[in-house]
Amino acid sequence: MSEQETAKPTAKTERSAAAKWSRRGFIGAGVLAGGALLIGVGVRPGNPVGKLKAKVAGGAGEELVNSWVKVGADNVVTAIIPHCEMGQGAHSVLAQMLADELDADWSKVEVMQAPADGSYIVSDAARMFVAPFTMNAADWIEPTWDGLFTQIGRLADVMITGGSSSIRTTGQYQMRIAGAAARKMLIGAAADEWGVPTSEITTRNSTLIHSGSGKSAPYSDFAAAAANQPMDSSPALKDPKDYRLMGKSKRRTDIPAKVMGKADFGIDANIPGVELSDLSYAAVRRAPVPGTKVTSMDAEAAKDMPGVQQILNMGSFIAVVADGYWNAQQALNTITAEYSASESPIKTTADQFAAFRDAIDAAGDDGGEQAASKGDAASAFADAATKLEAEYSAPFLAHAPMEPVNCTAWVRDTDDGAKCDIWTSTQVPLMARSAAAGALGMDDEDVTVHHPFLGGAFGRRLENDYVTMAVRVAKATGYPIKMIWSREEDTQKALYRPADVSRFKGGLDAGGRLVAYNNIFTQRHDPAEASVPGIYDIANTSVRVAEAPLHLPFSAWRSVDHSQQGFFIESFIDEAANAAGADPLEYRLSMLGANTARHKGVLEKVAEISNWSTPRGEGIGLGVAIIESFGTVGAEVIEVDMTSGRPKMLNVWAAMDAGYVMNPDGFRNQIEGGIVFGLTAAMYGEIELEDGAVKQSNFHDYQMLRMDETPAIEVAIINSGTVPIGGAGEPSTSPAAPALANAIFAASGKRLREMPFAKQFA
Amino acid sequence: MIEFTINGQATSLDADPNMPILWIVREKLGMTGTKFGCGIAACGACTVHLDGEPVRSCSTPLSAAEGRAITTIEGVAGEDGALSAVQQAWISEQVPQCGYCQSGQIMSATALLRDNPEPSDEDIDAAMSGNICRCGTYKRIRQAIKVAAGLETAQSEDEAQESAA
Amino acid sequence: MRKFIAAITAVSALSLAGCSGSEVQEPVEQIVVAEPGKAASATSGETGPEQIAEPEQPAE
Ligand code: FES
Ligand code: FES
Repeated sequence: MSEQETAKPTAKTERSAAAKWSRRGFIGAGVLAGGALLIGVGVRPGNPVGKLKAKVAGGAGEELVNSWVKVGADNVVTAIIPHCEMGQGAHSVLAQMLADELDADWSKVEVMQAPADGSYIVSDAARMFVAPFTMNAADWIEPTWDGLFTQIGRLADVMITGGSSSIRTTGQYQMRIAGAAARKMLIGAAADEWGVPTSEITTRNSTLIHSGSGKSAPYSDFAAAAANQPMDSSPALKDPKDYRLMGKSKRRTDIPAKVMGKADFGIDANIPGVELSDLSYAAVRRAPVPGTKVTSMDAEAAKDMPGVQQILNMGSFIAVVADGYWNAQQALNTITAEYSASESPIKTTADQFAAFRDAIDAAGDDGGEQAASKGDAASAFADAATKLEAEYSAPFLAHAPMEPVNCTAWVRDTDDGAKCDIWTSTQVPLMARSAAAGALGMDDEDVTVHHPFLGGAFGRRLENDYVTMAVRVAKATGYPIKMIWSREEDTQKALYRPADVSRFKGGLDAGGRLVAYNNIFTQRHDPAEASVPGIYDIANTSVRVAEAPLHLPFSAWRSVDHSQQGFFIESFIDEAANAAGADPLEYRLSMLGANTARHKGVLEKVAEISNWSTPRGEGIGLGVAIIESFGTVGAEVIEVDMTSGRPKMLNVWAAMDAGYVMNPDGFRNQIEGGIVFGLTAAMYGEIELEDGAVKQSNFHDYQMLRMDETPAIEVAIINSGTVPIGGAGEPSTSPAAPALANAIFAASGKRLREMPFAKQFA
Repeated sequence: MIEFTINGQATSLDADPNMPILWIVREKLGMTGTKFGCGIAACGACTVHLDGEPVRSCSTPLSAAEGRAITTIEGVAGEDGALSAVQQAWISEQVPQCGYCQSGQIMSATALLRDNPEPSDEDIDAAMSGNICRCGTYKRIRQAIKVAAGLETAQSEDEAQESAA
Repeated sequence: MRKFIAAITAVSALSLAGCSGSEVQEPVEQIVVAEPGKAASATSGETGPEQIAEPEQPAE
């Protein structure tokens, strides 16, 4: 099993085979030089793909091919996958699904990343492709599927596929179909040759077997002949009881390269034909306040700095191009500039929070947009036996992926007109392509996006601001440049998880049950249900959104709205439990509404693995939170030690029900990472404003959880078999902050209503 | 001309002695396994060994390497390409997610285990807390260090198969 | 989910605004100091360090 960085576009045979079959339809086969069987699955142009089409699919006639599978003459099965790998294990799981249906020898499966050019495009038309296939067994596998991918990964696809997860689509309806179809064709070829019925041939480990005659042969013997067999576009898929690879913790294909330093990320891009020593690098500085411009720059000192080639005022940013990144950045640091005035009245963090509170005040008792409503929450509050009022807040957050934003671009004239190639870590290669084309005034087809591994993303690489910057610089220079953002630039000039304020007025009846739930806040992006306490049976609910200005641009951040709402809601529920004098976990169980068998399941499981009911020592507390997000129900318990006066996290237990998990070890890795991500935000995450600009700049003041503070983490997986499916990458992030806040309350009696927490124990 | 060895190779380079080793290694020598994360010695992504000691190459000038030996992630495996115990443990425990921080993590862990073959949890905290993993793989890094040290047994692929509840 | 998509899309469209579309933004000021490709190159020992990154092919 090995991972190759990219499919070589030099495989011209593959290209032409694709062109041939894609004109024929959704699935097609061909034979390559050397006798390899090639199966492609995808969609043709012309399907109604909605308003995203202009962005994601280029001009008319573009071939939209999603997945390719090659059975080589060496008996190696290669999956050519159009999805990004950012650590969520996409490549491996897609290969697992393919190899399982194909009965391939897992040790001889290879994964290649398909470049995002015309013939490999991940299409939003994929949805239409689903139609010919029945769901049946497919329904069951869906959870599996989604189970392994981060929701961010799904978001990436949403942008491309316009509504359905094409990761799911790619695996379920392409890799599996392609694998099953290829297997059937191989069997057909062997049956013809051996003169036996196809029904008597079985397959195992890339081998065709006819037990009656004792004949057997590797797939490669029949790869070429198989291409002439009839193609079944909707082959029967395996029943879950027959899975050999799906549902198993196969090791990831991308990991060996990552421990050898051989995995190529966007920042590692080499340009073919350009000597390493000849490549130019760009350092950039955007105007510090969103929406402002560079009005003038003084670059006198920079001109004399070593290695400098060009200095550019691009309007919204300054770029220095030099013979190396270091020289470029050093020269950029000497440039002083004037910037236009910002029209935003918000200059400081306090201004931003005042704007939120003003908006909430202005909305009064019944203003704003009603996001959810049930019963009469206002009068229920008025009549409540016990009243609770609380205001929570959460700050802006940056994504801070470990690999700083970067993009390599080459814009040039060829005999065939102007062309652009970009190399970048992106969650949305096609959006990146359109962004580059738009910025250059070129057609999408003239732009090629090379997208290697992503050094983290978390939503940041859904945006293409950096792509347009790089291609504009490359166009101005006329030669290739690798643009790298400093960590400071990455922290200060990004797009952000919005800050917000959320106010609650809750009422308990005489029995302590929460019967009135009034909530108002200002930031609602997505998913819409994130702000609704829908898992609980609360008789009277009113959730409203007041409109408030947001100074920093929004971007989806791992778990999106759940990242704030989870903290607000699950903290408030905890306050209700406390007001009722109830055990917080028991209280949640007692408050669960209809259709919450999975919620009950994860709460009971997390209680069991955390020994919830076993009392801890003085100053040590347990906190719980439960959130359903992205199709997964997750409950977390955190144990915190407050004896030093500061929170020391000891343990986290998580029980997650994603329906069905495809690769349990990969799933656990995602859950563990999501918890650390959530705890980082809970303890430290805060982007503040000063003079309209972001104050934090690097990891010294935008702190991350590190090894010494990371608690032990135990993850229990519940395969309830529920459909539809759940994600893995995001659902564990949002419960972390409320579980920690609730644990701190249990241990110390101190109720934290503001994120982040660490500074409140200075 | 600055002379040094890199992964065992004698090298001389006509370059700015003030340029951090990170950029020399990545851009002049084409070895991109060493990563840029922060540029201010705050994340550890750029960790290399200088005469065996872990240093943050983003904040160590080339001049510091004069006459000394640099080892990068590319030089951690044996000459025959055999992975080191640390690298093997990183695979058996399936540590990396995005993988971007892992070159630096492995360089820090390698130095730790050479000096301290049986590190305690506190030793691991002390040696590894300079390395950020934004993907949050700390639990697995800790486990992999113990596996590489022989303090715990490696998770085999089959063991990882254990089914869910 | 639908609304989600719409929102995300709108946001991304916003983040592109001003940089994309038919309007190509040329530099306001461009100072050319030197030509590229003159950087000092490595002169290594016997075999020289291996170049790790595997280049992709250029666009056709
Ligand atoms: S890049 Fe050197 S420590 Fe972060
Ligand atoms: S694996 Fe992604 S930063 Fe560590």
